[in-house]
This record gives sequence, structure tokens and C-alpha cells, in this order.
Amino acid sequence: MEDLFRDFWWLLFPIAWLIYAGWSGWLGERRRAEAMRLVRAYNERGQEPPAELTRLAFGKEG
Amino acid sequence: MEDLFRSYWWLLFPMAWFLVMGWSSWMDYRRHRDRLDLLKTYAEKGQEPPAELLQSITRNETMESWGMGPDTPGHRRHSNWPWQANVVLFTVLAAGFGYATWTDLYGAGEAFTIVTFVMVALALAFLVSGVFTKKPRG
Repeated sequence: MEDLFRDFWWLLFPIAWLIYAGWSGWLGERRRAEAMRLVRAYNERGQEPPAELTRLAFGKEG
Repeated sequence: MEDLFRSYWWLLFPMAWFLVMGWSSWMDYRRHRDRLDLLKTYAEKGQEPPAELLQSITRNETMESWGMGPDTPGHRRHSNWPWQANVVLFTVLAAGFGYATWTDLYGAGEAFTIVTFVMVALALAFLVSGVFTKKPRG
């Protein structure tokens, strides 16, 4: 087992990147979903949502 | 078991690729579902939805994030990472794995051959996509 780790320790880097990218994507998705919920709240009250909010909800910045 | 891992460790990479693409597709699906739900609320109230919402419905953000989506005036591509960078990245990776194949690095020449093919295919795909995708005017 120790030999295996010595030979493949570098695999930790791509695996860590994968975990990071997945987590980061998930958080970005949550941020976008919250923004969308806010846009819906504005819509239900018959108000225009701020431009920054629509950008976050529908753009790529989220 | 250890021998099996030593022989097939490179399989982790294509498997990880499938996982990433599956995860991205799941995220895209959720995003589109939420947007369609929101669009429905506008339709029910007889209101005009924001232009950004309408534009976002037809987008494939997974492909866009790889610089392979259409570039329209309404929304920019991931501007910090142009398609040329993907071509360079995968060409360099192909060269590196090609070298590993040629020299039978770590005694895993066969595995590196497959990885080299994948890298070359990706570099060519990004090149063709970048060259033939319509650019916005102005």
C-alpha cells in the first residue's frame, strides 16, 4: 500500500482539482438559483429586477 | 488488486472526464428547468420576460465554458479563456503524452498512446470549432 502511494502520490493533484471544480460549480449553481428566486420574487410583486441581479441569474458571471 | 490498479490507473482519467461531463449536464439541466419555471410565471401573468432570460434558455453553458458555444451579441463567451488557448493547451498535452508514448515512460507506453489520441482529438476539435464558429459583428 505504501509502495502504491509512493508511485501514485501525484494522482492526488488531479483528484483534488476534480473535487474543487465540482464544489465550486455546485456553489456557483446555488448562487445562481438564489438570484433566480429573487428575480421571481420581484416578478410576483410586479417589479422590475435590478440589472445586476438578472445578470447574475441568467448570465455567466454566476 | 494492487497489480490491477498499476495496470489500469490511467482509466481514472477517462472516468473522471465522464464524471465531469455528467455533473455539468446535471447542472445545465437544473439551470434550464429553473429558468423555464421562471418563464412560466411571466407567461401566467401575461408579462414580457427579460431578454436575458429568453437568451439564456437556448444556451448550452457546458459547451460555452469550454469555448465551444456560439458567440452572440447578447452574451459574451468566457472571454478570459479563448478557444486558441484550448488548442495550445491540448496540443502541448498531446506532445507531452506523445513523448511519454515514444519513450515508454514508466513502462506505460500503451496507456499513453490512448491519452495522446484523446489529446490530439480534443486539440483538433477546439481548432475546428474555433475556426468555424461564427463571430459576432462589431
